[in-house]
Amino acid sequence: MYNAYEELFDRVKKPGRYTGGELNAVVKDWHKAKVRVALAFPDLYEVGLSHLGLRLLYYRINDQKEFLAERVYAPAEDMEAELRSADLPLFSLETRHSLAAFDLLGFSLQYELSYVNILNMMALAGIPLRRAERDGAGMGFPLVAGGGPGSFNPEPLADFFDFFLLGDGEDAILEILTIMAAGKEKGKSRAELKKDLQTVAGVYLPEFYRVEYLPSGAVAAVTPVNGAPPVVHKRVIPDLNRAYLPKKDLVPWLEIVHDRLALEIMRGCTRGCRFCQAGMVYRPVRERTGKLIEEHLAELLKNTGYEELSLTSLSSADHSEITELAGRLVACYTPEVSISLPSLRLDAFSPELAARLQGGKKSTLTVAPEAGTDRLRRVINKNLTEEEIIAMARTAFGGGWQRLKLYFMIGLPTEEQEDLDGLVTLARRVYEIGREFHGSRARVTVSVANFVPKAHTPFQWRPQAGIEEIREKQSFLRRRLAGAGRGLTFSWHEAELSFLEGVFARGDRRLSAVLAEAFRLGCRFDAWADKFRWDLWQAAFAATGLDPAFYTTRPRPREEVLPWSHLSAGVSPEFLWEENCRAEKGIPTPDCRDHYCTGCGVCTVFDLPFPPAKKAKAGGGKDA
Amino acid sequence: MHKMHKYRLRYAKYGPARFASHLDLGRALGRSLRRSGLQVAYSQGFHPLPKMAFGPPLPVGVESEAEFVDITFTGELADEEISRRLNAVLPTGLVVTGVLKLPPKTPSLMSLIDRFTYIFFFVISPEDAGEWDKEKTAAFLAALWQKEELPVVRKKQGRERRVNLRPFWYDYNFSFIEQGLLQVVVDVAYGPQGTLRPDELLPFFPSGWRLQKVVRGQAWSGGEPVLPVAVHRGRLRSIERNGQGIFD
Repeated sequence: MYNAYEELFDRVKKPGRYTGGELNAVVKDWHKAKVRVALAFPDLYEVGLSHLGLRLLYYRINDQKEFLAERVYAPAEDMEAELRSADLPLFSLETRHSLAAFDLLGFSLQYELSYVNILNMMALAGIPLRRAERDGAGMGFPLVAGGGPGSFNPEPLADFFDFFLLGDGEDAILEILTIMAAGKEKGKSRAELKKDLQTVAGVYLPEFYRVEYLPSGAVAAVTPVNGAPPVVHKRVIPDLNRAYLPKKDLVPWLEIVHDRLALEIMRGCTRGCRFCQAGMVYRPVRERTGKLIEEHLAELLKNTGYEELSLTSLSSADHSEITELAGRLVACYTPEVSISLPSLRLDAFSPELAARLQGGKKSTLTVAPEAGTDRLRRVINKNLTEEEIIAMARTAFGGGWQRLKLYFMIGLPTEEQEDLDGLVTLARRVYEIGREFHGSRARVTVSVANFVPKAHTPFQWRPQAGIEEIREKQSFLRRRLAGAGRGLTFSWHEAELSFLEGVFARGDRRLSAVLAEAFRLGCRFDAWADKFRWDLWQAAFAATGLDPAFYTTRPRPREEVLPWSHLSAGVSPEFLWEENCRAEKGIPTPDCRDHYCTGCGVCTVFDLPFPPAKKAKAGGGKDA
Repeated sequence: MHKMHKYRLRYAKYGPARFASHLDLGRALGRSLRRSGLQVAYSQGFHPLPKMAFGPPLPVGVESEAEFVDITFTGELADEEISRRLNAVLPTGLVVTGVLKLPPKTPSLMSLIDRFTYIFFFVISPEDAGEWDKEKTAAFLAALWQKEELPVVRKKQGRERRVNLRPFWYDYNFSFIEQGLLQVVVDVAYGPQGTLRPDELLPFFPSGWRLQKVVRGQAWSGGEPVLPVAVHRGRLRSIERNGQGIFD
């Protein structure tokens, strides 16, 4: 079997996506492992391997003698065709076993538009898509699980998955595998095994919850059965300094999307932007100390040889030691190793440090106003004023940078024409400042995303802007930004893609049928605009009798039972509703690390100390 | 400023490394040099790169026992130390098989190499295997060798150009490993006068010969093998073990 795939490699583009054999890949003895896990990412290798979380779990599992983890990514169209015509199953990179041969198939749920790829990957390995069919087949097929942000509302996937893990996976995964190993040894049935898995904190088994609907289509009730708890709380690692960290990392042959060494320096963010799901579900903020980060980076660099390292988190510039840490790393490693942060946001970084991080090159800086006016920024709790943004632009262009990137969203709650006018004015003002300093060499990229309300955020009750509305707003922006000059470019996202993302972001279990139908019709790689087939999706909705607008453009009343109401990220619904009301009135809520506890509930639920970790005051920081 | 010391490394590329492009290879070797802790010299600029100069690129998918790269170090090193420390950290599929200290003003690999040897490994289907005996194979290859024209169409920047490969084909040989397992060795030109890629020759062989793999076996300069020669073969045996062919 191992060699049967070799012939295919010669016929596909970028065979390195499938061959495995990367530096630091772990190839274990298949027969000696008590439990075998396939870690799957439902997108191309270059995207999937860039994802830190899956690599972390890969080493976490393989560091245990009795467990084995291998990787698999979504095959590109050409490989899918080769597999189908050769009648070969989708396989793991390490030992080229069919996904069906594993005990556990775990998918990383990073974005909604990758869900159809999940079905395709299962189908390509001959695994029945629906959980009930697998259960009916005895112990022959793997348990299918999911983790990552998608597991905070995994309801559209409920028909296909055996369980989801909410929250931090480093420790939970070993508890899950230990239970599976014991179950296997004792010859337990799938039903018995799942009952055991329910005891792991953070594990959610959709079959243990019965969902009933109102005539309107909204959820009437979610009722636990089989002794399941009424609410599943996410898993939290209280202290990142004591959390597992691998001593090595995969180094691919191919150039991948994030082709660098990444170390997570902090988890969570308390800025409290009301549109941001990650900012809500990854609370509380937990930091790794500078000392631990430095020691670990030294080891990782030695074991990988990477020429670039990235200090990742939701908001790395908020790490309490970031200035000193970045300074020390720059002194120690540059220029042979360059150092980067996920985005060099000027609202948090001094230009001096930014320059040092970029190796003196002064490439591009980013500012994320997110909205066009101070009023709308207060609504979304992104508390930057226009004057601050202008001052940042002046600092950046004046400091020698010629390129600035501005991030915005449209379709935000309470957005009016004035806010779009404000966006145009702000972008043009920034561009004019660039011209003042650099003339025709100044470049401003205005990147405008479409707001998608997400579960577990203050805006989870809000209507999403429809396709037509987004298109009109985009066309207005395009017209008004076009005349500004050649150096100002406008980029946007397809309205239909955002709309579909919104359906699944706040969808319920009935959407499993739509996913299955879209898959059957041939949808693949929906997140890639050139592969996205809106016509097929419309056909899938029509065939299943579900209206996508029901999930998106409809405002939800406070009393509505949301499909994810039995899942908790620790942030209380009362807090989210309160934030939603404050948004309406444009009242900002400060970062709890700077001021007082805002009562989101996370620290209470998980019995964690408050404040989470003090943020650095400008120009200073605490010692490790 | 450190005194610079240039070394020529010979290495093999096989298994999972055979799909690595020239760019992939540069990255992998650069990272391996960092891991090795050897004192490699870096280029200047914002993003300094290890000073490496590769020989002619190997077509993607082709394995090789004769790849070369010139690397500059900031200190004098024993040949053995370079190969030992690099081999300890190279990814599976790359192995240094020889090291040579270069005297100043040594010509570059690109200007030196004028000929390559490629080895084609063919499997002949069981029905046809009996028919393709030594005599018939010899006659076929001799007839091919006699031809004055071996035309192919090359595309460059959207334009198609007809090229005769025959002048770039220098020599050949063949042997049967066993019945149905055929090894054809060809020497081809490399350099400014022109070259041919091994895959360009494939259409001229019988369709019943199924290609298992192609290996670049040797690089030549003025009739002599390019130095250094392979001194250790150690891990090289895993070419066969790596699941590449049926020649295990």
